[in-house]
Amino acid sequence: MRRFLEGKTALAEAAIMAGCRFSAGYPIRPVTEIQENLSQLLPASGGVYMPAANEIEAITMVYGAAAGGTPAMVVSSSTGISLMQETISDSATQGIPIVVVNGCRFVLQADYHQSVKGGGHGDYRVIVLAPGSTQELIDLTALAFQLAWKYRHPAFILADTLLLECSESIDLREGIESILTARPPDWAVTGMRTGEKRREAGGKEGTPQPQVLTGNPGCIQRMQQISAAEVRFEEAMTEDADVVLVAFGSVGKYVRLAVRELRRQGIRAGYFRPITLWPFPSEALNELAGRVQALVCVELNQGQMYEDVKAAVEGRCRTLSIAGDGNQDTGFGLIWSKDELVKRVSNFMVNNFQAVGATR
Amino acid sequence: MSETFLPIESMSKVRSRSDILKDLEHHLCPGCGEGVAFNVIANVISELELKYSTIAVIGDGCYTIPSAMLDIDKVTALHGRAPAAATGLRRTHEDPVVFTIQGDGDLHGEGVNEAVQAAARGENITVICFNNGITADTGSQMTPASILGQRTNTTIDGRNASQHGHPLRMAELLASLDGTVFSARGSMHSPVEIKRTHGYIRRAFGLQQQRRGFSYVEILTMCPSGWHMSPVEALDFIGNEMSKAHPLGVVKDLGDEPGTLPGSRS
Repeated sequence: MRRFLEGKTALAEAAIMAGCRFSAGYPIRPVTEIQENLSQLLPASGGVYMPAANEIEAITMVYGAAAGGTPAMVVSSSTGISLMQETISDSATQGIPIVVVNGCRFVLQADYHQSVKGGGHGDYRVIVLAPGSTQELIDLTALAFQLAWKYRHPAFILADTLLLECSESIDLREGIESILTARPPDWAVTGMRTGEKRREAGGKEGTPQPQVLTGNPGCIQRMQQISAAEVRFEEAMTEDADVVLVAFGSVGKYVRLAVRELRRQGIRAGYFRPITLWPFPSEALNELAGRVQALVCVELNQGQMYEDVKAAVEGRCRTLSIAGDGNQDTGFGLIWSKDELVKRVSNFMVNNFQAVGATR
Repeated sequence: MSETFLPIESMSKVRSRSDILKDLEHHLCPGCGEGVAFNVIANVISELELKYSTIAVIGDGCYTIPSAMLDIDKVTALHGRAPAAATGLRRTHEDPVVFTIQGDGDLHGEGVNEAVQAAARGENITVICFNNGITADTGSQMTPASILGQRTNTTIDGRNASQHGHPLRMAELLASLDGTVFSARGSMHSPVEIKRTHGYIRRAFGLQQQRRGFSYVEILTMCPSGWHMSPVEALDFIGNEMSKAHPLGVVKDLGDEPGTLPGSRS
């Protein structure tokens, strides 16, 4: 059944369908309405929503619920996520599968580093999914729960104001696979264990292990498995491309318009959109770099993903960062001006690659 | 002298090491009160037959690693955050007794907000605090619970009110909140107080089983290493000084009557 839904409503409904039964939150724009939705949807489906006193308390409640085997999600934004980083890194190292929604605020992609590189302590990464449309917001919300629970590792959904406040015609499928099971998973702390083996969540337990000296082998092993199996990206028109525009999230959507316009002007342009920001599609980009002349990284921040793109390319082709902060003076508003984007890519290609100019 | 002792056959065993206290190595110092407190908690869990119906949320401190001795389900929480993690567990599990073990650095310092909010909500959990007036795990520094005059590595001439302020009394603070059904402060420095503390924890767990709301038990624990005293001097320090600033006894007990607290069953 197709429905016309705002991103915020879609995300909350998708989370419930995916199995979310606990959430706690502290209000913050632009995700407040997701919390409002959850506060009504969760009790209606046998779950619990807790209005917390602050972000730190909110995510710790979610940590507790998830440790107890209940699919749980926390929804916040930029500054709120900063306050939660300690528990996010702790969940990663301890193997607590929390789902975190980061609805990035004013500069729409300013929180790439915050989400992908993490602001917490320790040697960890979390799964980061970057939806590019309302439909994908739903699909990736469900995927976030599935991956978090499959690997027992935190999963991020990195959304932004634009994505959350746009309404699109979407298919909120009845068939979203729920991760809910009749019995809690083996690792869950329920207090009701009847077997011999006690359940213990958390790495500080046991005999005095030199935990701080050895890192967390469980966490590192999980991250290796995720890196090997869960890379996701979308590419189009890259077979014959001279230049490929790399962008994620809602910017990824608008970049497609520029690619079509560049093609009309005779520049063979393509399009590459990482869907998982961690694990980052480095191998695919490296392979692409071997057969194009240039990769252009387009972002609404000061070029945060560009660092990962450059590292992936390993010098195999030229790279250009088109980055901005939404300043009107530079020609970039809340989203990119297609014409400005086309002009910049076109100039770069014509100035740097003779063959490209000749085909015009 | 010998006739003053009762014949062995007339004695009965009233306390022993709890069966849920596993025989593990721990790194608690000689004379530490926390090992005794663990045994008291374990004995209450045994008595109430909660071995398969309880979850402990363990904070950050000397007690974190030794908590592995408790043969029950456990979750470790970040410093100060245990009452919030316990809330997440409580709201998704109806039956088990959910309690936290925290220290005074964890609770009086880092985690005041979590504890106060949980108490104000009447969250049906029990918070247990081992209070030795210092952050012992890091080598004896001042906490908000340190008593006036107490010497620590960061108050080498003793805590003084003009520079360091006054000690925070959590049992009294939490008792002032409507959601708190029980608040008490016990100590590990004498057999009598150990027995009383046993009663406080039993009472707190019992009220929690009745879904009455938030309960708090603070336990003054000796820290000879951190206080730079002999174990015997440490017992006297609690008896003569610490228990003056942190008075022992029940601060609040709303009783067994069905309450009107959120989450209470009646």
